[in-house]
Amino acid sequence: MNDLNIRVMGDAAVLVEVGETLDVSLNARVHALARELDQVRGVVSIVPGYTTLLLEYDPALCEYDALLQQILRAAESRAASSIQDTRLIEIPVRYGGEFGPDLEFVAQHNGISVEQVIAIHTRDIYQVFMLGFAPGFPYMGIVNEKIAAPRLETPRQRVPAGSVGIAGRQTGIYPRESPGGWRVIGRTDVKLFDAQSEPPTLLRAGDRVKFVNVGNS
Amino acid sequence: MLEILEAGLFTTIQDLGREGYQQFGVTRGGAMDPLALRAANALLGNDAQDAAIEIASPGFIVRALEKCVVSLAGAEFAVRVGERFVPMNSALFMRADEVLRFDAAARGRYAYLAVAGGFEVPKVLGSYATALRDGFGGFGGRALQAGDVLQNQARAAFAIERAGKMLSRAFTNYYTSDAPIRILFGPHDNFFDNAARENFLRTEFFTSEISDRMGTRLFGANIARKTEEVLSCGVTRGAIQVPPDGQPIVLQADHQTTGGYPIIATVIRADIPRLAQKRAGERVSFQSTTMEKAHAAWNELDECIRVT
Repeated sequence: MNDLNIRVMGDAAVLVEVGETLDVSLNARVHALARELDQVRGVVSIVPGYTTLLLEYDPALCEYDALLQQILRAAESRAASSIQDTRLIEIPVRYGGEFGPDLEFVAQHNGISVEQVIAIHTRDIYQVFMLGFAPGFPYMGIVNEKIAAPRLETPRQRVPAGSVGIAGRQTGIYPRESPGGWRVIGRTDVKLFDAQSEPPTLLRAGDRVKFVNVGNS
Repeated sequence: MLEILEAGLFTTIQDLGREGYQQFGVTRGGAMDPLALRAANALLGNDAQDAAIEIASPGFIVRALEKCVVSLAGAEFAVRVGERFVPMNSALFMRADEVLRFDAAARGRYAYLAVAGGFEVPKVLGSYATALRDGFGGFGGRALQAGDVLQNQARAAFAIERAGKMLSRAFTNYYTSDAPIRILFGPHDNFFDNAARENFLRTEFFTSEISDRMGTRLFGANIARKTEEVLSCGVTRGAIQVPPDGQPIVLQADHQTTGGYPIIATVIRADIPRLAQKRAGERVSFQSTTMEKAHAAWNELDECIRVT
């Protein structure tokens, strides 16, 4: 893996950058590298981003210089540059109406019908780039430019749990009721986060997701 | 066994936080001042991981439902048991029905009350910490309220021999030091030029009153940055984000797991407790250090929680 940057984030974390642009294959490398680094002694937490991995480590168990060597070694291994099989998870969605108050906007913004928005949103398979914002919230893409839409200028105070939204060329799902600025086009009943489960989220970074239209009645 | 008579504001069960769940979007959480929480547990001979009550406001009042040994560490609240003032940073014996009360603090923001053996709350995702925003962990996922009863762990020993134990002077000296907060520059070096870094080191910042468990907000200078945002990446506690308005935010215990603001520098672990205890309007300045010195400073913290 070329062009790897390792940057310091304080005295117990490093940020490993594999690139600087949002790209499905670059992001897949992030997850492959995460798998390689999972077993490194002293690494206590690995957080994937779009093009980065945050590694939090315990310097008492793994010295900084030794950590850098291990990251470089892992990055050079064959497994870290190959795309492995990932899980494909289907998410049933009720589009439009009370469940998707912004579906009309997304259609109008792009000059297509709501049926076309649904058809495109359910046709493509999305990669979970990372989880963040709230427990279990997946940032996914890349969304077809025909259904891309800007965030709300003023975020809503309350977006219901399960809301499926679009922001730019990403799509996401709100695991719980929260404030939010994504354009909401539908809703799912699937539970995305459960603190009593291990792991606590339905989706994990690196998974692939397909939305399924189940009608809105 | 303790009964909460008055909870005060934002009083929660905390420990040293959740490790390894940030990849799922779960905040690390845990004590705003992990050093003081460790100190409270050390006073009683508890495990460093045991749960304690984090007190962030005056007006917190508890009653002992049976005799017990508790410890207090952190912010210098005026604490009384009955009418008798008791010192912070010590362990003390309480008789059944005695009432312990927190009044205004002379210094600091967060104090910890631990009980010999630790409080009995369920571990959720490997930790006792209350994830308040997400409603799980600690005591039913919420802040403590009047009427709540906290049990000791079943394994708890009575530990009368711990009563009267004190922390060494090194503990209070750590907090009263007016030394700058030490940082390592990075990770987003390419978003800030030398002038911005110099400005950052030269400025005497003030902590804002809107600081909370998510972040310590600073004002006093506009740190110039390139206008574009970084692609969101995982972030760690102590990272100093610079939003478009140029007013830095130091990420604290309940920070979101990912962020899209460029990070000019990161506070070293050894200085996070001292920063977390700063109140609104207190001055903060930063000093650049090295990885080696940062790790040495972390190891030296053990001296602060030595019990006499």
